[in-house]
Amino acid sequence: MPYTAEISRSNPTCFLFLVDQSKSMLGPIGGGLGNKKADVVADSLNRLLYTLVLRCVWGQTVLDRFHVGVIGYGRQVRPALGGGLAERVLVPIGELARNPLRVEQRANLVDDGRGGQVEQIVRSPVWFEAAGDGKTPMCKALEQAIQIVSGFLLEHPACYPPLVVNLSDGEATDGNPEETAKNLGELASEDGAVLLFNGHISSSASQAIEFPDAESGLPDDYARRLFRMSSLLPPAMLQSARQAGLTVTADSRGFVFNADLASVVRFLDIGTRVDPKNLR
Amino acid sequence: MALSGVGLGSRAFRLPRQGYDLDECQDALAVDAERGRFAIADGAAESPHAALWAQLLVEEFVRQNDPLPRWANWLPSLQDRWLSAIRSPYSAFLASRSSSEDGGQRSADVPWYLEPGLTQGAFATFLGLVFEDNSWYALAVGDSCLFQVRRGELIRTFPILRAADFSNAPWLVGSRTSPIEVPNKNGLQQYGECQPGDRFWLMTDALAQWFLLQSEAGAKPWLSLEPLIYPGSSDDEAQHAFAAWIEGLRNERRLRNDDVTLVAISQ
Repeated sequence: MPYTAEISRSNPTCFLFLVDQSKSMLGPIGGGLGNKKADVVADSLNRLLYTLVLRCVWGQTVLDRFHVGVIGYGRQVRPALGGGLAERVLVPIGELARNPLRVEQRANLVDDGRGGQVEQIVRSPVWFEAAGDGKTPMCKALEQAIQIVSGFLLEHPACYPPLVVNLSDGEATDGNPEETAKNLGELASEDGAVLLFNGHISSSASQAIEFPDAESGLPDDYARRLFRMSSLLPPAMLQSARQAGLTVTADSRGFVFNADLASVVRFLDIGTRVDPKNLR
Repeated sequence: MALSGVGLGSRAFRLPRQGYDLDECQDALAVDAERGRFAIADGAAESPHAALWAQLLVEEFVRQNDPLPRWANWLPSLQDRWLSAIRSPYSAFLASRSSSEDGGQRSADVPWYLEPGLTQGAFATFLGLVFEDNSWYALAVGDSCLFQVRRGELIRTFPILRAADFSNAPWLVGSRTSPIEVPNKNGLQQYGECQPGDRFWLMTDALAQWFLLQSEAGAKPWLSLEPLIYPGSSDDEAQHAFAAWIEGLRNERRLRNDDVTLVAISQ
């Protein structure tokens, strides 16, 4: 059965993020007065990387169960991690953990254990800065993804299939990315085809959509195209999504519209999860 | 305290997920056959130091004297021990986190990725089993399971009753959560009687789910386990046989790849 390979130090998998850094990403999200799309994507990606690292912490170390890369596409198509990881394509997760650009402090509201909430300062690492310049060479970014993922598959032929996550406002300027996405999806490990998930960050004021199972309800052509490019959620992820309270069907795809993709990281099975609902 | 456990035979197995080393295994078990006390626990993968927490839970349970110790009586000191064990070199950070008015202060020495785990604590499922006279008492949080087999029939299943009831987010005991709240709401107790010849099986979730699936399909899964614990074989032989059998089940995709713990007890 595909998508059941163990994700471990001896058999790591790969996460590759493709991030739209075109000028249109400087526009606001969700209909006018919101944050810049580029800021929302940077924030979403940094939180996704944060979650990914925390899933690999063992005692006082970070086990290299994942290799992670970020490719930005805008004026150029190039590796987009910052600081000590600049120009690196795929980085073992432990190295990523130890080398953020900087660590910011954020105030989060957490349960105080007595029925109320208190503000707690949480350190938030930043690996990736928001940017927006030039056009949207999504096809070229997907072509780079094919090269990078092929290299990883050669080294790790039995791995859980690599997951490529494309975060964009959907307006490719260098052709129709559907064909390239199809080529990417034809790459496979012994455990199944490479997964491509898309996070569509839109200026449209439409409601957030998570893991839809049909393109008919989507607000525009860009969303529908990104939906068609997205892989079906593997059965184990579907089950985790259901347990997390999401409405998904066997046709649900790895696509979100103006919503956070961080949940997909939690849907990967690397063992017993800590569900906040179940702690008390 | 009656030494009714004397004469209990037991054999215990613990294996990491396929692809992991034994030192990455987050399951724990403790056995005191003479005093008739047994426990298993499954540390949650997302909490660092969960293996330590699982180990502390099972060891402390078998050291207790009460058949069903009240959580509030043994959990707080255990939580302190967990904290002391992981404290160094992060004592300043943890001290600041214990004081409500000073939540923002922190030790710069703590790498950012260790902070959530230290703050939140570690989590584990738990199952403890005690024999006294002709009775048994069990205490459970989460999905580590107990099965009682008598004369070829499965007569008791605790606390999960059906294979479909397993999820990958079970109830858990926390190392930093209220020792009263968690177990009171989600801790289950059970007792029963035992007779000579009864066999008790303690299993963490993956194997327990396999066991229930088999049983629901009309099979007698303990018949596959019995040869592995055959008293005539040395412990080394039994461990090898068990590891090979588990690997076979995993390769055939009949067993979810997870840490596996099994304790077999014969009355």
